[in-house]
Amino acid sequence: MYVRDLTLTDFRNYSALKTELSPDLNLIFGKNAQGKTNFLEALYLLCLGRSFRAAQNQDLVKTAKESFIIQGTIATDNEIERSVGIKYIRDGKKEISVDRKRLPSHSAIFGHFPIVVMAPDEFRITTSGPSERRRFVDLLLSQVSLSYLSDLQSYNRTLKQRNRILHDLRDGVSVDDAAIEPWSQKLVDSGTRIIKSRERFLRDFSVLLNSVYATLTDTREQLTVVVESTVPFDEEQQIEAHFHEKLKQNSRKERILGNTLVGPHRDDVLFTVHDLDLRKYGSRGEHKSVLIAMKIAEFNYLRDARAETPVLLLDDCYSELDESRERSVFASLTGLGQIFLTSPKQTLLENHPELYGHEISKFNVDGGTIERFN
Amino acid sequence: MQYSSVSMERAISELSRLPGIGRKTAQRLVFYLLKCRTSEVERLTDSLVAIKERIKFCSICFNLTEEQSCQICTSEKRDRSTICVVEEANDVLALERTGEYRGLYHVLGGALSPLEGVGPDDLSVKELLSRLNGSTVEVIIATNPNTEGEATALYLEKLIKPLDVQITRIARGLPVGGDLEYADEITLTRALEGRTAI
Repeated sequence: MYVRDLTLTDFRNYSALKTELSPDLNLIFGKNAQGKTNFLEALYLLCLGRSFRAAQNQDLVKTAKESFIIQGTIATDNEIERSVGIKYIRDGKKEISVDRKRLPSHSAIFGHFPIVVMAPDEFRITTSGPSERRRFVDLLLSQVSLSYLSDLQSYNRTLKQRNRILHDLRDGVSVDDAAIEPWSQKLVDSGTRIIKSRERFLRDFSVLLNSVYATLTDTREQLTVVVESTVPFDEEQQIEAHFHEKLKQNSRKERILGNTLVGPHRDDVLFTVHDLDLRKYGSRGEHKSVLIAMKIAEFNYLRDARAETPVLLLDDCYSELDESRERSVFASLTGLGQIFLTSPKQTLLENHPELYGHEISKFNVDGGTIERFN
Repeated sequence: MQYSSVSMERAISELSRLPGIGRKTAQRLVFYLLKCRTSEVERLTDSLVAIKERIKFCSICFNLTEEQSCQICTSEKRDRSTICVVEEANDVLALERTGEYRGLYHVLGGALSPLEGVGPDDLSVKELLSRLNGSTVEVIIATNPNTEGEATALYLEKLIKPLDVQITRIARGLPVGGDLEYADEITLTRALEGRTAI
């Protein structure tokens, strides 16, 4: 698929923008803090209904304005055109519509318009805490499986209810210990399904990731990803029993802390390069290579699972790579699909003949305006 | 807004407190009522006062009634071996509309939700258990298929299981008369999971 045109109204630092886009390579030039990333963010919102930055809806509205609108035409691989609109009024709720019909929920857009972003912020996935890795897995799986999304929503709701009881028990507001039972059961029900899905997903994804990593780094180093669950299990069938057992073991501690201590919401994903834990032993360079491999694998996974070519956003983060790796990344972009690549340097093309094969549209971003040039 | 009459202002703000009624609709209603005859308006207010004065909970099943026990509980024609447990009295209305169910009901008065401060003691659970004394063969749990309804069902299941009564949960799946292609994916997935042999 590709985004054919984009219209922004009072989004971030853009007052009014309307532009056509190339179905192949779009180069976005501009000095820092002119709106390059905001442009990519708008595309991401259009396709997925949410931002890839940690941002509140409020932050997305242009200063001193009341609302923002993002509109765009998306052409699928089958050349079917869909018009998508995202609208938000301050203090209100975000509204997403496809072909002028309002979607019943924000997540209803998930999976229809696959998009992958590689931005400096994404380095958090391998360098930061477990929540970032869970977010990566959850967001990717939710786009591919609606029943995963539904399990996740139900799990989170149950977790909140259960934690409230633990809270009340801790603070002595309630003494009815049996009240927790049904919530534990419900937690185990949806939690088991989540652990199983993550386990199966990471097994497939690991294979994909490893082959991308091998090509990218030109080494025979093994990159593996596995679930590191707070509910240890040998076989999938045992998860439910182990989950119950773990809850039982932690029941005293839970009542002291007023919190659910085991379950998918506390799980992590372990990356190992050559049998070494990336979190502990990974160099900056390795983290970069792993991230890029992950993003390419994400792209391939989404494309195969949804039978739709994702849009790829590259926000300047390749600039941290050494020259030869940068070249091999750029070379791999040929024929991939619609790509948006930002750079502060207009000399990018001269230095990278491997990009010549694309049908290129060039844009210059300057203080919230965007201009196409040749 | 400033109205020319205090009574009008009061009536509008009272009406707009009702669910689904905004200020504009309330205003329309008040203007309509002003044009009505006094007797008509009295009929309306009488009927409203009556629901508060006369309607109470059935002493057996907690359905709404004007008697000590509701019409379903006192009916000779109902099957006394089956009790269908629902969250609210309007669920009884929905099930009664089917005309298929001939058993009795039990209205819980909500579903478990610690976040809203609703625990087992806030629901008519004890009263349900005291009804299960020999003559009951089956309890059908018909709480809503959402997180809170499911947890409530699990809670009841645990309590009722030792009592030698059959417990069943209403099925969830595809709406009748609908096309497969229009069903949402979650409903379809659950319907597949709950498939039955034929």
